[in-house]
Amino acid sequence: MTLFYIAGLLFLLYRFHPNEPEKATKKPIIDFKKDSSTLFALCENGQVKGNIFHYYQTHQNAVCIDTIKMNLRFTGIRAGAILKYFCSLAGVKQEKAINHLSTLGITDLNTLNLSQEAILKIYAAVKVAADRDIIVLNDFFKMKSREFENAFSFLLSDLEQAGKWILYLSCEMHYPKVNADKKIPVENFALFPLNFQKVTLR
Amino acid sequence: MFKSVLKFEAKMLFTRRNFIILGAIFALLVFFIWDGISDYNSIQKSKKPFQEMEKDKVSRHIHYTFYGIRGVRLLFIPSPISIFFSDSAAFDGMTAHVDTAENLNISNSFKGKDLFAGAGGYMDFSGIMLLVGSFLGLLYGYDVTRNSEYLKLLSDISGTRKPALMITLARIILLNLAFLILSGLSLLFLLINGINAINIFLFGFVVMLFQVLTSFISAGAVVGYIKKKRSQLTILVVIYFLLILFIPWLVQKAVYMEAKKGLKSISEFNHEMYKIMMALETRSFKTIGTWKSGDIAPDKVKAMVKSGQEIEYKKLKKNEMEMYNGIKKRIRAYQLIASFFPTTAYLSVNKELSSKGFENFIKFYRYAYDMKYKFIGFYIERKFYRPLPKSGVEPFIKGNEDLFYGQSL
Repeated sequence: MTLFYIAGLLFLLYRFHPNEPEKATKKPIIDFKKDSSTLFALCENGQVKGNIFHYYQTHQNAVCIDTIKMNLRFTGIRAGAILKYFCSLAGVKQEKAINHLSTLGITDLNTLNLSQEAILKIYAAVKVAADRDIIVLNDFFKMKSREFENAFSFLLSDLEQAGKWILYLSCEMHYPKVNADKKIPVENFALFPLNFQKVTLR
Repeated sequence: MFKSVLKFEAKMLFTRRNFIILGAIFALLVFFIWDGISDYNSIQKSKKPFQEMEKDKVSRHIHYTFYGIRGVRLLFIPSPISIFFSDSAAFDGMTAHVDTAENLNISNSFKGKDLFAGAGGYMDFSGIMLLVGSFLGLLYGYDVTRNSEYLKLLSDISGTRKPALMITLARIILLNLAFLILSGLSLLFLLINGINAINIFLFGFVVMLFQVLTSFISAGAVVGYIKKKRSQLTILVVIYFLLILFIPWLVQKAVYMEAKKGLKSISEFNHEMYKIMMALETRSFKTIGTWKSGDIAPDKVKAMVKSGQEIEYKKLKKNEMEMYNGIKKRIRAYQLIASFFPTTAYLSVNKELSSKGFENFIKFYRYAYDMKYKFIGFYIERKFYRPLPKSGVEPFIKGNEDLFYGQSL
């Protein structure tokens, strides 16, 4: 009898999923080659942004870095163990992720204080270690620290130079360091070339 | 991928903080095992004085009439495994008293409905394993799903849509492993104390513990999916209270209530048996009058004894078997209902594993019943068919027949 009870509970766990079910989405018209290798997509609303993100999640040549509202505590666990775990889950080489982490300013995993942003850096380093051509970021810098954004600007610039295409999705237009001199029409989404060194997306 | 999850969860579980918690649980278990050892040793120590006293009593009888009236006593000896279940067993110790008349008493109050009255406590090794294991299991499972962002992160990294199921399965394995280690250490502690409780039936305990921990971890993980935090905590408390306290109490109570209704009270039963015996007495007195024992009985006495065996003793046997079957039926009902819930199944199986459960009670009852009628046969043979030897009364009990060794089932 208890076996049925356990099987029922495990079945419920199998059915539940933290993410929304993936919907079949249309291919967004984004031509990296024509526009720029790094693009900022200003989306009309969250749904449009979500659709573009879902499309790239199913794209074989893309890595998608999602917004994670972190509230994690890894008591008694070192950063190295988390990196190893994430790498084995993602099926990527740990050395590559360590290289990306050093670009992000993390060199010593043994003494690293596991702050929420440090965990996010590990997450992103593991994701980009998958070595795909397109990197999609879903409003990843929103509400993060300046240090966090700066560290990523180095990594993304490196990846850009390595021939990767980067797409940053957001519903908010962030202020450029120089004022825009024209009105921007947005229907579904609008694309802009992006230079991480010149704008802040926090 | 599951291997990675398992490895990481193991690292998360076996941290210094958690080792301290496991150490504290082990210290608590040792305390209760120590208590169980003292109970077990006191029963073991009582064996010799009990047998010596019984032998001495027999040697003081002048003839078989008094021996038949006083009867013999049988002692129940639990198995060493009972140390783990000293408080949650169905009974502490049992003594049966049988004579040639109506008596077949098992520690007086146990025979009949009162067997089902005691709920069984949790203050022993198996009870602590249940209380602590289910509590930790519930929280450990809840911790899997309470943070949906963490699951989303893992799902995103791994590309699997079922991280919760994998983590839950990993935690089921790990918590069971931790409790298995605790059980192993407890067994080792017993061995160090000179008691070998290693028994194939301990596997039954492991299986029962596994199903309890697995149920609570899975239940906790499902509760973690509920969106409102306050509802989550309320449901966790309700699950724990229901499965640990209320349902076991309710199952026990339901069987006890039914037994109260369906089984005769012990005084009512004894009175009925007494009336049958007195009917034989009256009939014998009217037919034979008085007769001085010591020599071989005259034929009319022998005929009376034979008729008594065929009429009154048959009735006594029938009544006793009705009581026996009535108790057995309630035990089966309890076991069936108990199998519906993980905690009641755990408690019910552990009662039987302890060697101080209902099954052993029934076996001891049956043994006492068989010994009673063997004793009656012995008594009739010695009193009515043989002259009293000069050496005095011959003891009925041979060797360790007055000791009944309980076994795990």
